Amino acid sequence: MLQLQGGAQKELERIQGVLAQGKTLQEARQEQSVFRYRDKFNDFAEIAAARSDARPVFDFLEAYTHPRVVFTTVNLEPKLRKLKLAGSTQDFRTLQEQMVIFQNREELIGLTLSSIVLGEKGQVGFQLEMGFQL
Amino acid sequence: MALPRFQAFSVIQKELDVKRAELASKESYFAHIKDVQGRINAQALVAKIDAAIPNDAQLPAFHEFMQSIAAESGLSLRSITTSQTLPAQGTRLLRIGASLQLGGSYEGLKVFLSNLLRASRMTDIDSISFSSSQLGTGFVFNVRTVSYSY
Repeated sequence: MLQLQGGAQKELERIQGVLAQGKTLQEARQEQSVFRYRDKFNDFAEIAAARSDARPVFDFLEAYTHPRVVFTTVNLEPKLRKLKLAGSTQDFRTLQEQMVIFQNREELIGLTLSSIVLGEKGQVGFQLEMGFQL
Repeated sequence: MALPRFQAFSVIQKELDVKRAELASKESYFAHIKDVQGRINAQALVAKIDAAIPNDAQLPAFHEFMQSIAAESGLSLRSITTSQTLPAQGTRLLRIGASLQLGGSYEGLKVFLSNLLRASRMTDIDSISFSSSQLGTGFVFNVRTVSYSY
């Protein structure tokens, strides 16, 4: 019985010693590396899922800009899907036609026309703000 | 006389069982970590993710990357300024913001956007602004991007 108890005690001390040492340097490095990649995979997946493509907005403008409207300034925030435009056209009628073209497009969420200015040579300046669901 | 000895042995034996289980659990955990590390190293996807989000900002390489993407798209990189945002608490992801001024054609801008989407280093567009060109000299595009590192 004493012999058994002594053996068990020694084994217990050995295991306690191993546990007390904690992680080896290699184990700690490996653990850190695995955690880093786990976080990196998650971040990568999150960023990839949230990526936005600005090109469809330009395709949209090319397809649905009135032939007599010129956009002089473009300001696009692809992540927010927001587009601000400054433009000019020959007359109010053309501007109205442009508005109708845009208003009939399902790709747009919200369309705000502002800063309508009549120029010295009769041209009409304006600003447009719109959201996209592309 | 034998009973107290047996009780003492029994106590040690129980504690030994607990510690053995604790050790086995630790060994199993690190064997799993080693296995996961081995599988990570074996995956080609890791190289792609490391290229997309490098382990340090590598700013000179980033500038060169932007310059080459612009050139491949037929645009000239007129200027670039970068700024780094420190990772938020609980994350290691560093954001590198860049403000670029690019000269060239509208078609070039569209190629630039395509090339940037396909590029190995993950870069998102925050904003694009430009005004109509004068006297056929081409456009000047102001583009703000965000890239990432660990």
